[in-house]
Amino acid sequence: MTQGSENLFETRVVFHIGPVPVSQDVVTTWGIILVLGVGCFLTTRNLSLRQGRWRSLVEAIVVAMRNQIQDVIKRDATPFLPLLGTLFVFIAAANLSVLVPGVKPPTARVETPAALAAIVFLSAHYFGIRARGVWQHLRSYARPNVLLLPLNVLSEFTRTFSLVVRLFGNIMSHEIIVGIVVALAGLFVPIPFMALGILIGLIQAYIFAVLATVFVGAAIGAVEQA
Amino acid sequence: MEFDGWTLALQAINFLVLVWILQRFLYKPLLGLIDQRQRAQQDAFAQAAEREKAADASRAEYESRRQELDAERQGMLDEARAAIAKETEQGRAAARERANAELASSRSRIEKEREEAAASLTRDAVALAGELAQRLLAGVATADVAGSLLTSVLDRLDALTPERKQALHTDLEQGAKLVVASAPALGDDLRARCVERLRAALGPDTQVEFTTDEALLVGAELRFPNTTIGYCWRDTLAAALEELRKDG
Repeated sequence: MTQGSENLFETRVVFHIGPVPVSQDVVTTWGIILVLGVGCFLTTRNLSLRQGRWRSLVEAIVVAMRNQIQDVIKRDATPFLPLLGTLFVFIAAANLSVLVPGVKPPTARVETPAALAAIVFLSAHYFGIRARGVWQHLRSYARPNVLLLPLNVLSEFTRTFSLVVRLFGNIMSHEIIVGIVVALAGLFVPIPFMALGILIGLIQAYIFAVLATVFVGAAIGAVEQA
Repeated sequence: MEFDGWTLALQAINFLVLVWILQRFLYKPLLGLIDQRQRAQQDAFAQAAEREKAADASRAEYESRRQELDAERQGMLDEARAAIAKETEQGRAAARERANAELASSRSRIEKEREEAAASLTRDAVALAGELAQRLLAGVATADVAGSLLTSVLDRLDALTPERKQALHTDLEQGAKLVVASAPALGDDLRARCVERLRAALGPDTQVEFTTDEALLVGAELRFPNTTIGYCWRDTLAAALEELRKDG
């Protein structure tokens, strides 16, 4: 268990590209990107108004994501769908990659959730400035009172940090639990925990995407400050 | 726990690459397809709405036309009913007039026939009465009755003025005879008294001839060449029958 815990918290570099070390998480992410990219390419090639079951399912998921975003930000969700929808898809795929034998989910390490949270942080400001302008965007931190400016600025970082910790903590802890159960009880006992892991992975992906949507919505003035 | 900055940077880049891939191969084509489908649906809805509107217009036009046809048909029916009623009334009036005319004609004809029948009946009754009277008078005709009637005739002759008697006598002077007709025949005694009274009235040379005339029924006549003085039941009966005819 100690060995497993060390492996879990340590960065495992697979190879180097020049001076850049490529970790296992990056490789796994490349695999996820490859699978998703190929899947999307195969799904959307030769599009026509007539469609099969698989494309109907994909289309239903995309439409559901767009409607979910639209319900939160109260405006056309198309400009926000690529970022927010991809967040859900990538996190869900990363969380569910644990089902592949020998693969550890990238979200179980802090770098990937931190990278996603940083992108959400920057994207919220990007969309906020684009929607309201720099001055109005900055003034939003002094509302409803200028005395709340430090708290609002602080909340920008804390909520981003909470995104990282929530996703990383849940997935990492699930990995630890499954590892412990496998070590103690054997091969087939952790299956219920792994099924629970699917649920947790989807829920965490949903929570991360919804919170990111709320942050972006708040930045563009569509919803109350989160 | 380690924190690898390279991994964070690479994961951020990886995520952005994934955003581009999904935007390129998933969101854009699918959303375009969805928009295309929605446009197709909207076009279909618009076409359906236009067809529905056209159908409504057609239905409204049909209803309007049907109402016009109903009104026209009702008008034609009313006109036909009015014409039929008028023709019926005219036919009834004509029939009524014809019936009244025929009734009047029939009544007139019946009245005429009735009058003719009544006149014929009256004539027949008068004729029958005359025949019966003649039979009855023939039954009671005797020489005495004839003599009595001759006496009355002779009384009338005696009552004539002398000028009239002279005129009668002048008629007899040219050789003519005075004919005394009677029914039934007079007896010799009556004839003798008759000759005596005639000669007393007209002169002693008066030639008298007696004859029987059944046509007189009962009675006697003095037949001068130009004048006849008599009294017979034939004339009385004829006068009575003429009065009956006039009264009938």
